[in-house]
Amino acid sequence: MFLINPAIGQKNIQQVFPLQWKSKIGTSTYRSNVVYSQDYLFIGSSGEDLNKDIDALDGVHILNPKTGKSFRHIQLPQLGDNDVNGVAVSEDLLYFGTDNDYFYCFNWREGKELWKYKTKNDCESVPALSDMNMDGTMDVIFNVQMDGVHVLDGKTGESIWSNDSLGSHQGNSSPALYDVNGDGIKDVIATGRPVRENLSEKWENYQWADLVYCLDGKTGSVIWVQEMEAGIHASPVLVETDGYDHPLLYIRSVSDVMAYNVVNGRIAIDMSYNGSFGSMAISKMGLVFFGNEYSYRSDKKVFCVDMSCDLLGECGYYWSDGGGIKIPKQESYKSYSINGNVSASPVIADVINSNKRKKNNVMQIGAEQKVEEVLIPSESGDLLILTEEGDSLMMLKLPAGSEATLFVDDIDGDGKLEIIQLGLNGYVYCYSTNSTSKVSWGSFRGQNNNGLF
Amino acid sequence: MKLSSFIFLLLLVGAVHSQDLVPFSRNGMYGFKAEQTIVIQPKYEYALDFSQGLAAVKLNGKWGFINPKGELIIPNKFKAVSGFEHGYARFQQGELIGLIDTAGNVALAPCADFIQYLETYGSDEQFELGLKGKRGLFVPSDRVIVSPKYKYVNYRMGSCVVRLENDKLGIVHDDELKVQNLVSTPYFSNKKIAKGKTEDGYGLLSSRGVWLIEPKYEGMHVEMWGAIPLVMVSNEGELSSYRQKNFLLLDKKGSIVHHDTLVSFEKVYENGHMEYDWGTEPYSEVAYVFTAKNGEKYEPFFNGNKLELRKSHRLDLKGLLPNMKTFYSKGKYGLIASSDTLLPAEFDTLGTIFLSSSNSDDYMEFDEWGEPLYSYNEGRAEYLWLKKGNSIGIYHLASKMVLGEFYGGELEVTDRFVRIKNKDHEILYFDDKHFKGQKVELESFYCPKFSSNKNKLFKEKNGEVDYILAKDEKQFTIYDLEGNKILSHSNYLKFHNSNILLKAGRQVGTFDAYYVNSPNQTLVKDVYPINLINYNGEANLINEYGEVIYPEYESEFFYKDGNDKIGALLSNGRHIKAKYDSINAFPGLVKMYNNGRVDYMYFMEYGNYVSGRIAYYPVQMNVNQTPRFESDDYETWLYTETDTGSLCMSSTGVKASYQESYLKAVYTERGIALKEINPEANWNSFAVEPQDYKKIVPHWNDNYHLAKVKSTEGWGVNTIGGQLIVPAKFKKLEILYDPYEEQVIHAVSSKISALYKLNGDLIYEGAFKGAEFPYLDGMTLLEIQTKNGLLLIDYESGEIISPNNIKSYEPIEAMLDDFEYYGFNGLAMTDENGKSYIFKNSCFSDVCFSFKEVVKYDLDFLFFEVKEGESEYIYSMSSEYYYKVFEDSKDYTIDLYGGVALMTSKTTGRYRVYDLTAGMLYEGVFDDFRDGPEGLEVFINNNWQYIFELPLEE
Repeated sequence: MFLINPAIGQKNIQQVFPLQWKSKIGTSTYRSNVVYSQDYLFIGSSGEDLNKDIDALDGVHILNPKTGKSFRHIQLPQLGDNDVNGVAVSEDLLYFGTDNDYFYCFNWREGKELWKYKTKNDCESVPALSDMNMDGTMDVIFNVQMDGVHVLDGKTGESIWSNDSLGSHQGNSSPALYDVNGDGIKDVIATGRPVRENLSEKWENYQWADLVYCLDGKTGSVIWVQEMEAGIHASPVLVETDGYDHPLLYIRSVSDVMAYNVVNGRIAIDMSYNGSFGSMAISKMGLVFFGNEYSYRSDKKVFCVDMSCDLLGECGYYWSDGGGIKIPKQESYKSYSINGNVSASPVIADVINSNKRKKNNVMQIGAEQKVEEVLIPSESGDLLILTEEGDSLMMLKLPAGSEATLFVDDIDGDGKLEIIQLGLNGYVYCYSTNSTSKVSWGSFRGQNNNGLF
Repeated sequence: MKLSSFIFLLLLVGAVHSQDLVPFSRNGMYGFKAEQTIVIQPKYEYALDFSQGLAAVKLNGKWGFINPKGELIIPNKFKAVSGFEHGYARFQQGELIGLIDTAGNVALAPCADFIQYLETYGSDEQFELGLKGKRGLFVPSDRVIVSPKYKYVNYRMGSCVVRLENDKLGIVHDDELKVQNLVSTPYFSNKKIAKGKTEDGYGLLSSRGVWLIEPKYEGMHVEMWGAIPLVMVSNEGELSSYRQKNFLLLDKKGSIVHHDTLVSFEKVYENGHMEYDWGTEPYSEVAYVFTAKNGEKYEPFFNGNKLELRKSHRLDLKGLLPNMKTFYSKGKYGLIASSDTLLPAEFDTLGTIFLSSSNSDDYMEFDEWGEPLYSYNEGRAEYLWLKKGNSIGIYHLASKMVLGEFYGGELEVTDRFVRIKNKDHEILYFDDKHFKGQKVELESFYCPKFSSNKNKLFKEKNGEVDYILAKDEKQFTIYDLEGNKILSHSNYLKFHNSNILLKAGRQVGTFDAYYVNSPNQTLVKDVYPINLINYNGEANLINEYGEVIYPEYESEFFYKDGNDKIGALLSNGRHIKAKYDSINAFPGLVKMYNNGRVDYMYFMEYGNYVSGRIAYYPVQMNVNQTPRFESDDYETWLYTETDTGSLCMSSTGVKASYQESYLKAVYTERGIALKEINPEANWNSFAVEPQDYKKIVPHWNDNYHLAKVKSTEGWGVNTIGGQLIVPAKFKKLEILYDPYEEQVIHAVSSKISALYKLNGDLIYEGAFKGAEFPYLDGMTLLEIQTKNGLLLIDYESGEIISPNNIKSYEPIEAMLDDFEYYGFNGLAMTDENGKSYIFKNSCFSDVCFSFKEVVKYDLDFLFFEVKEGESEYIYSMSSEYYYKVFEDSKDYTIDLYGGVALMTSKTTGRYRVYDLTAGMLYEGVFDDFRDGPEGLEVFINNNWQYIFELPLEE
C-alpha cells in the first residue's frame, strides 16, 4: 500500500530533509507559534479537532527537541474548548490563552498553574512579554476576541491595564511591542475592529473600520490609530529599514499590505493584494514574502513583492477599476502557484547551506554573503522554497498540510538547523538539514521577539 | 480569627458580588478572594471563576458548584464540568457530555463529545451538539433535542432540517427522523409549512415532518394569505413567484380549490397611510388575484371553512388616504373610508391622480441633479377621476368633494396634471391651489426644456409639458406648472427651444442671435434678436420677451453685435464679450480670432471650461486643424499647434509651447488625412492621403479621438491619429464594454461581424449575432452568440475555449475552502447536442488542454470523465489543477464516508480510492471500507486499518 503523490515528479520533503522525529500533539492553526526555550520546544495545541470538549491532545505540549518525546503535556481540568494557539515562555513561566475564555500562567517545569485570568472571549493570539510596570519582571500582553488588549502582571495575573476602545475583532492578530514614545516602556501595536457600543465619541468615526493602532504601554491610552481597508487577521511585524530611525511596522489585512511609521502611524507603504491570514516575512534585501488564502489570480498564492519602490514613490501601479485599489504592476512582484491555501507565514533561513548556491549568477564565497531561502507551506501539503531574491527553488511534498508557520533553528545542539512543521493531521514533524547557517527569520513573526524583527 | 475580622468577613460576604470574586490558589488549594481579601478559604482542589452566580469547584475529585457564600449549590458529583454560559454548564459522564441548568437539573443528558453555543442572532438560543463528527442540536426554549447523528442540522421556525449520510435532507421531530428523502432544503414559514422536494416531486410539509400534500408535483409554489396557505401546483415544471405557468390552486389538504387552470397570480396591496410623528408612511395589506386561462380574475375567499375562488373586481389603486378603499357592487365601483361611503357604487371605473404640490417644496430635498430625494407626502394621491358613462368627474380626496363633472369629455391624466376637454371648454387641474375649478381655454401645450431656479427643481423630460400657453379673449398667457403667470402678450408667442426665465433689467443693446452649425463651424442666424441686459451686475442675454437666455448644458451661444463682432455666452453663465472677427468651433473646443490669429480659446471637459487668452502665444491656426485630446483620470489636455510650436491647454491653464514633429489627423473635404506637423519642416506633408469617405462623424460615441467614417462599402472607425481601426465596410457599429470596462467596437455586417479593440486589434471575426463579456472572477471571458449557440473565448489570450454550439456553461469553482471564497478554475459546458466539455486555462502534470469533450462531469464532486480510445479516465478538479486519478475506470462509485466523498474503483483488481473532498488518491488492494470513528478505515489482511495513518516511510 502506498500513497500516490498527485503532483507527479514532486519530491517528498524527506528526500531533501530527512525526518528526525515526529510526535502526535494535535492540530494547530495559522495563529500557532513554536517556542524553543531552555532546551525545550513549547507548542500550543487545538487537540484532536477544533471542536471537541473532551480532548486528549489540547493544551500545551513541551517536547524534548532531540527526540520529540513529551516532557510535559499541560491540560486544563475543566470541560470546554481548551484549544491553545500561541504560547510565550519566560524562564520557568509559560503563558498562554485558550478558546475557553481563560488566560493562564504555569510553572512549566512543575506543571503547576500559578494564576489564571478570566477573559470575556477566546484568546487566539500569541502573547507578548515585556516589563510593563517596571518591577523588573516580565508582564504579559495579549488580545482577546472582541475585547481589546489586556496587560497583566506576569507574576500575579493582575490587570495592569486593558483597552477595548478600538477593539480586537476576532483577536487573531498578535500584538507587537516597541517603545514608540521613548519612555522606556514598550508600547503595544495591535489591530482590531471596534465593537460599536464600546466606542467613545472620540472614536465614533471608526465604527465600521478595521484598525491598526498603538497604545501607550504605561497607561493603555491611544498614541495613534490608522484605518485599514478590510479585516485584519495577520499579525504586525516590525522591521528595521534603511532610511528610518525606527523599524517599519508591516501589517496586512484581507485586502492590503501596508507598512507604517511605528512612531506616528503614518503610512510608509500601501499596496493592495487580495489577502489572507498569514503574516509577512521580510528578507534582508527588503523583499516582502507572504502567502494567500485566495488571490485575484486564482492559481497564484505566494507572493514576493519589492516594496522599496513604494518607499521611494517609484512603484509602477495600475489602479483597478471601480474600487480604487492600487495594485503593483507585474514588474514589482513575483507570484507562485502552490497546491492549496496558504495561511502560514513564510520563514527565511538558509536551510540548504546555500553558500554553494549562486546568487545573481555569481558564486558567493564566505559566510558573510551567505544567501537564504524562503519556506512557505500550504494547507494541502506543498512546501514552496524560494531564494531570497524570490526565485523558485523547489516544491516539496509534506506529509500533511500546515496552517501554522514553520520553525527553523538548531534545536538539538548538533550545529545544524532543524525544520519543525506542525501538520494539520495532528503531528509535529522535525526534519534535519545539513545547514550550519544562522537563521534570520525562523518562526512566526520573525524570532518570537514580540513582533520586532 | 478575631471577632472584628470575622464580622468584617460576614459583612463582606453579604456585600460581595460574585463578579468581584476571583479564584486564587494557596498551597495547591483554591479559594476565592475579592481584591486582596479572602472570602472563601482555599479548600478546593480546583476552581473556576464565578459565572451566572455560580463557580465550578473540584472537591474530593468531583466537580460541583458553589454560590458566592461558598455554599455547595450543585453537589460535587461530576467527573468534569465547565463554567455556566448562556444558562447552562457542560458536565461529563463517561466519555460524553451533557448540560445542567443553574439549579443542577440535567437539561441535556450526556450525548455529545462537544457542545457549542450558537450565535443565532435573534432566534432562539441553540447549542450545537457533536459526536464523532456527527451533528445534533439542543434548543432549550423549544425543548428540542436532535441527537448528534447527522451531517448537519438546521433549526428554524420550529422545524429541524437535517442532512443525512446520503446527502439527502430530512426532517426531525421529537428526535425522530420523520422525512428522509428531501433533495432540497424546505424553508418553513412562520406558519410551519413549506414545500418539500423529493425525487417524486414537490409536496407540502409540516414542520413536524408530516406530508400535508404528498410529493408528486413537478412544480409547487406556496403563498401565505395571512395564515392560509395558497398552494399552487403544476405538472409543467417548476413554479415560483417569478415563474408562473399553468397551475392549479390547492388548499393545505391538497383539495383543488378551483378547477380552472390558472396562469398567473399577483399580490395586490390594499393601500393606506398611517400617520406617524415624523410624517405619513404607507401601509398595505396583501390580497391575491389569480388570473385564469380565459383571462378571468379571481380572489380567494372562505365559504364557511372552505377555501374558494371568486371573481375579482379589485381596482389596484395606489395612494389612497388612510382606510380608504374602493368597493364593488353590482358591476359598479364606489369609495369607502372605514365604514363611511364616500362615493356610492355608481362609477364604471376610478383612477388616482398624483400631482406635485407646489407647497411641498418646503418639505422636499433635492439631490444635485434636482431630483427630489424624498417627500413626506410621496405616494399619496390627491384626486380621483371618476368615469360614469360619458361623463368624467374629479374628486378631491383631502376635502372628499367632487370638484366638477363634465360630459362627453376627453380625459388625459399624467403624473402632473389632469386635462379634461370637451367641445365647450377645457380644464386643467394641477393641485388644490392652482387652476381649481378655473376654466382655462388652452391653445396648446408646448414643451421647451425646463431648467430650474434654486428653489424649485423638476426633472427634465423631453416631451413632457413644462409650460402652459393659455389663450383668452384678449391675449395669450404663459403659466408655469404651478399656475404662476409668466407673461402675457397679445401676439402669438413663439418659444425658442431653450431655457427661459423672466428677469428684469436694463437693456444695453440688441443683437442678432446665432448658433454654430458644428462641425462646419459656420454661424447661422437664429430666429429672433436678442438683447444684452445688465442684471445684478452680470450681463445677460434677454430675448424679446424679456427672458434670459442660457445656452443648453455643455454648449455655447454665439452672437454678433452691431459692429459685426462675435461674442459668446457659455452654459456656465460666462459671457465672452463680442470683440472677435471670427470663430472656429469644434465640439469641445472654440477658438476666437482677430486679424487671422487666435486671440482666445477655450475647451470644455465635463462641463468645466478651461480657457485663456493666448496673446502671448501668437498662433497661425489652420482652419482645418483638429485638436488632439489626451486625458487621464483627473485632467484633460488639449494639444494644438502654433507657428512656433505646440500649445497645450489643461485645467491648469495654458502650458508652454514646444517644438516637435508629430502626426495629426485633419479633416478635409475628402475625408480624413494624416499630416506630419513640424514648424521647421513641411507643414503640409500628408502622411496619409485623404480617404475618400462619404461621411465622417467625429467625436463618435463621446470618444474625442474616434471618428466614425463611411465609405462606399459601409461604416468604419478612424482615429484622430489617422489609424483606421475598423475597416469601413460594416452596416452598424456599436460600443461594448470588455471586462476591464474598456470600450470594444462591435461591427456588424450582413454576413460577418467583428469585435475590435480601440487600438485596432481584431478580437474576433465571424458570423455571430451578439457578444457579451460575462463577469467571471479570475478570467476574461468573451461570449459570442452564434446561430448555433455560444462560442466562448478567453478575451485576454484570444484562445477559443469552447466549441461553437454551447448551450450552457458554468464556472468550475474548484478551490473549495472553509471560507467564503470559491475560486474560478475553468468552465464546464454542454453543447446543443448534449455533449459535455471541460475547459481549464492552464495545464499541470500530464493534463494540458484548452477544452476537451468529456463523457460527463460532476461539479458537485468536482470530477469529470474523459474517453480516449476504448479507455475512460477520471480526472479530479478538486485542487487548482486537474489531474488524472483513475485510468481506464468505467466502473466506479461515489459514497460519502464521514462527510468525505470517496470515489472507488475496482476494475483493475485493485481497489483504488479517490478522496474527492481532499483531492487525494489512495491505491491498494482493499477488501472493504468503512467510516471509522476517526475517519476512513480499510479492511486489509483481515484487519481494519486507519487509512490516514499510512506510514510515511513506506
